Amino acid sequence: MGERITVFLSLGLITAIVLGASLAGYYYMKYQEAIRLLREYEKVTIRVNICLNYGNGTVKWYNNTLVPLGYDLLSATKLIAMVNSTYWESYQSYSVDAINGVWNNQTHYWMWLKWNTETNEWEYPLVSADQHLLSEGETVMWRYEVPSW
Amino acid sequence: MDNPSKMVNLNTRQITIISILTALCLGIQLTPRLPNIEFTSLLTFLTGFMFGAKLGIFLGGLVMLINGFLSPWGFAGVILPFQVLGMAIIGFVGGIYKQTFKDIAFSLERLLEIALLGAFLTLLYDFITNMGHALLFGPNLIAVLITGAFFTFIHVLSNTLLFSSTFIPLVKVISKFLGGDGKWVKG
Repeated sequence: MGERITVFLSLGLITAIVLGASLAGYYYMKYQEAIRLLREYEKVTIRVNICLNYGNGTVKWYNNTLVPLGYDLLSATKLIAMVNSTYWESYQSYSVDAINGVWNNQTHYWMWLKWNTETNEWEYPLVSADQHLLSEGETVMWRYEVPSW
Repeated sequence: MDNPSKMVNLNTRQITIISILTALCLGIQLTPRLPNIEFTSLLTFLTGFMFGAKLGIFLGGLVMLINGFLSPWGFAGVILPFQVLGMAIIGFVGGIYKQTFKDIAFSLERLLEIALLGAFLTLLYDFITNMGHALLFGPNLIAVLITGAFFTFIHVLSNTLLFSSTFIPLVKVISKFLGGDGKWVKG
């Protein structure tokens, strides 16, 4: 009986080893493929840091977000969040109405800020998000706040 | 090949069960389904177990031969002989496995045996068909095994569960029908 168990456990062990090795190889192959793709994409992508500040203490960072080269902030934000926006013909640009279901209201609006690496301060750019082309390593923030105007 | 009914001495009930198993096996095999989830290995192994290695080989080979032409996944092509060989081995092992019993008294130990055997035979079948692919189409065998590893995993996992959960009840039901417990035997 002991010999019988040994035979079947050996079969199970062989199966587990072969299957485990194959799966390890499969995931290694997929990993290599992903690395190769990433390197390829890096030529046509940039990494940016996007922050969503809901104004109630909830702050979410999306660091090193990979976005296509030439993407504007609005398009990049749509990659990480659900965005509702309106196109204004007169300004030829979009305004953001809501991010992740948090809508502008009579007092609070979604404003975007850019981190100035020279002054180490947040600053309000003078263009709309769809007009701002992102650059490599840029850090931007969407903040739900009472605007100064 | 000889007429299978002459290969072994079969009575009407046995022929009935074999016919049902063959029809069931073909019906399921030719039905569109998820890839690598199949019942043919189980039913072929069961046939080999219940009716001997020769019939197991015959059923496994026949089902894969027909499957090769009528499969919902398309014509098997030159892989067909490897599929036939792989499934015939499963039928053969079913017959051999039966010979290792003095009497059929199932237990947790048997359940473990069946599960491990199901896993091993499925892996062996996938190995044979992958080897066929490598031999015929040129890529390195290791590369073929690795590329198909995920599908092999699904196949082995599903068959391990299938063998361990259904084999023993099926053997009991068929044995009962064939008169193993005397209830179905005509006076």
